[in-house]
Formats: sequence, C-alpha cells, structure tokens
Amino acid sequence: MPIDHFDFRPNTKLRTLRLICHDPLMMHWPLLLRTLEDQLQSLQSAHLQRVSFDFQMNVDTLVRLGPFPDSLDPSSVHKAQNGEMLLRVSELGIHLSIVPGSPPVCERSSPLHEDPSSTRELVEKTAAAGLRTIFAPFDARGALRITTEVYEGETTSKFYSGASSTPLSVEDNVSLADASSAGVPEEPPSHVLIGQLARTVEA
Amino acid sequence: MGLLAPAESLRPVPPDQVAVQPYPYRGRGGGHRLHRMAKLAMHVRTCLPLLVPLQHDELYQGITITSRIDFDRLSASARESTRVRERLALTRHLDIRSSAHTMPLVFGRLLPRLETLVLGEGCMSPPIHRSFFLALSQFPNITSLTMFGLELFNFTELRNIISRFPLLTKLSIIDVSCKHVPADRIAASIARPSPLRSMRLRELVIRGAWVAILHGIIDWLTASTLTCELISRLTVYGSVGEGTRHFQQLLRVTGRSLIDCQLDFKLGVSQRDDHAMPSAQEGSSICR
Repeated sequence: MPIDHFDFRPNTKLRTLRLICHDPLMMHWPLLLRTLEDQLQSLQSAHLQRVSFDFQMNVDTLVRLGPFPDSLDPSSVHKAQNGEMLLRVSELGIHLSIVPGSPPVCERSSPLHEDPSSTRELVEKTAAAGLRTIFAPFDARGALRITTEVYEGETTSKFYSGASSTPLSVEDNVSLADASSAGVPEEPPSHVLIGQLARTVEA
Repeated sequence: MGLLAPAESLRPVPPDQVAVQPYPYRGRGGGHRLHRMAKLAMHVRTCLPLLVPLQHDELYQGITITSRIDFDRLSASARESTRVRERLALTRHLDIRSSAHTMPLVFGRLLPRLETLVLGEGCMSPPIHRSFFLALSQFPNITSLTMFGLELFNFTELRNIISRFPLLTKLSIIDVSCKHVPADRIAASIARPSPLRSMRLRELVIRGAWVAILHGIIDWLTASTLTCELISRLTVYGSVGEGTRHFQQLLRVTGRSLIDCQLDFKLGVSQRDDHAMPSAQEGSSICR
C-alpha cells in the first residue's frame, strides 16, 4: 500500500520546506524510514536550502517507537541524501514536540515518563538517535539540528489550531525563522489601536 | 488633498491624552526594539482629529477596531470630521474584531485605499446578510485577506467573502468553521464554477480549519489553475483523518512558483476514500 507523503516533483524552485508529521498511532521506524525516503526522493529536483521536519507525538508513542532497530537498513534513505542535496541544503532541522500521556485510543499513559527530564532522556535514546541514524549524511556534514520540546498539554490537537500548550523546556534555541514559520509575526502591526486608546485614556 | 490642516485649527494635544509607547517585540536578534510605528494611545473621539499636528499620518494606515464602542466612535468621528475622513482615505490596513457585518456599509467609501483586511475573532454572527457581501465590493484594492476565529453559516459565505476581492494575492483562513450546516453540503457549493477569474494568489495560509472546509477551499481555489499557479508561499495545516490528495492538488497547481512550503501530514497509509466528505461532527478539536 502507498505511504502517505507528498510529491514535490512539480515544485522545482522550492527553497524552504517544513513538514509537520503527526498521527502517533502509526509511528514506527520502518514506516518512518520509508516515508522520509519517499519524501527525500521527491525533493531531488527542488532547490532546497532549508528543510524542517516537525514530529509531534505522545510519550506512549515514544515508548512504543523505541530505539532504531539494528535490523533496519537505512542505506536507501542515505542514498536519497545525495551529494547535490547535501550541498544545497544548509540546514535540516528536526523538531520533536512531546506531549505527556497517551494517544487518544491508548488506554493509559506511561507514568515512568511523566517527568520532563526522563522524557527528554527517552527522546534522546529513541527518536533523536534514530533520526540521527536516518540522516547520518546530513549529520556528518553538520547540517542536522535536532531540537526537543516537552509540553505539558494533554493532546496533540492543540498543535493544529495554533493554541499552544505550555512548553516545559526547549532544548537548543529555536531560530526566528522557526518562530515565524510557527505563526509568530516578524513585524508587529502598525495599528491605531482604537480599543486600547479609549481604555488607556479613560482609565 | 493636503495632509496637514491649517495651523490655526490645530489644537495642542494634552499630554494626559496622548502617550506614545514603545512597541516591544522579539526581533530577529532575539532582543526587544522599538517598532518604527510606535503604539499611540489616545481617546478616539477627542483625539482622532488631532492626529494631524502629530504628523503621524502613517499611523492611520492601520486601524484596529476591537469593540462595538470603537466602531461607533470611529464612524461618528468620520461623519463629523472632514479631517478624519481624509485620514481614513489613507488607511491601508483594517483589522476588525467587532461589528464587521456593518463595516463595509459604513466605511466602504471612506477607505478607498484599503489593501489589507482582517476579519477576526467572531466579528460577525452567522448568517451574514447579503448586503455585507455586496458592500465588500467597495474595497476593490484589497490584496490581503485574513479570516481567523470566525464562525460562518456555510461554505458559501466563505466563498462569497473571498470572491469579492479580485486583486487578492494573500489569503489566510485560520480557525474558520461552518457549524450551522452539515458538512456534506459543502460539496454541492464547491461544484459551482469558480468566480475567481482575475484572482492570482501569491500566498495561501489555511490553518485550524475543519477538514471539510480545508478540502472545500482547496477544491474551489484550484478549480481554476490560474488562481493558484503563482503561489510562492503555501502553509496548510490540517490533514488529520484524510489523505494527501488535496495537498497534492495544490502542489501540482503551484508547480514552479512554490518557494516556501509548510504542510502537515499523517504518517501512515494513504486513504483511498478521499472523496468521502466528513460529517459535521468534524468541528471538534481533534479534527482541526
């Protein structure tokens, strides 16, 4: 069956790409590997300079994901990261957003990982390490940057509407470009704030 | 039309009524800095005419109306003062959070240079009277339209708003819902021919919309390839529960124009039943 991914072959002038990957129920290494490979293959003809993958998952998903299996061969996805792509892409960012608890259909959360520090450790041992394996060519070139954000929200649905959960901690600095891409305006509006004007003076 | 009024007609601005405050924000360097357009605080009814001596004409280029009281004050000031009307004629950006349904009727002819319109945070209650859509045609120069936090009656209302702006180049639809009509009716309204013959979008943002609206708006916009073929910036979030067919449609139409792209996707196996319209229950948060 085909893997759910995008075909960017028509978009040959694409320079900046950010993909947000969710649905933790389906997240496992073989699927992730194949999806990323398909995605990279479809980007071969693009003029990419910056790529960002955001993975949003629950702690239980992280537990189920586990470490990258030795039996899985990442050579095909390494091949997709060919020399031309490595030269063009100056930064490959991976952002891991972790929400404590379970995906909607899971029965319970993992109490062992409710502490943010242990969650971060778990992320490093599983998702982050596995993604470093997948993107080893980028990592070797120094273009790979992995950041982790541990939320105290309840469900991943908060990510989509823009209503943010409260991040407990952020590892590594998130650049303004990331903030901008997340909906944070770079320039404040130059408005006559009428409502505020009236309130200010009347007060 | 002169920008400055005769000096003898200018009254001094009482210090307690005018306060220029820095507008802090986190800039590229991570620090705070003053924005070139400082936030101006003053009593609207008293001080709108006094913007002239301040020589801050630029401030009138952007207006935010956050309440019915503000709306009434501004409309009253516009009626009473020629100077206010002159300044309004310079306005390029209008952000309205209240009483938007009467906005084009009241301000339509007063804002001939309006380029950016933001309809936000429940500024209208559905259903919207048809006079609103008709009066929107008085803003022919609008190139940027943002709708966020809106509840519309049906997809037709959404389509009717967008299609009033033939010069639109930037369209943002954020957290827009149509709760009063079953989602499957959207399919019927999409089937109508696209009226956007002159519209050439350069930027499209859709976030937090119902899946049905998300798919409906993409189908409608891409019905005419001309509408989307120049899009260089594309942001679409909200593929939960569906496949990537609609996203693919956009990527195909935008083609070589696309430079900056942000999408979310479901990690899994493609669903073949893309044509099935979701139910109205998709207004719940999990489906956004």
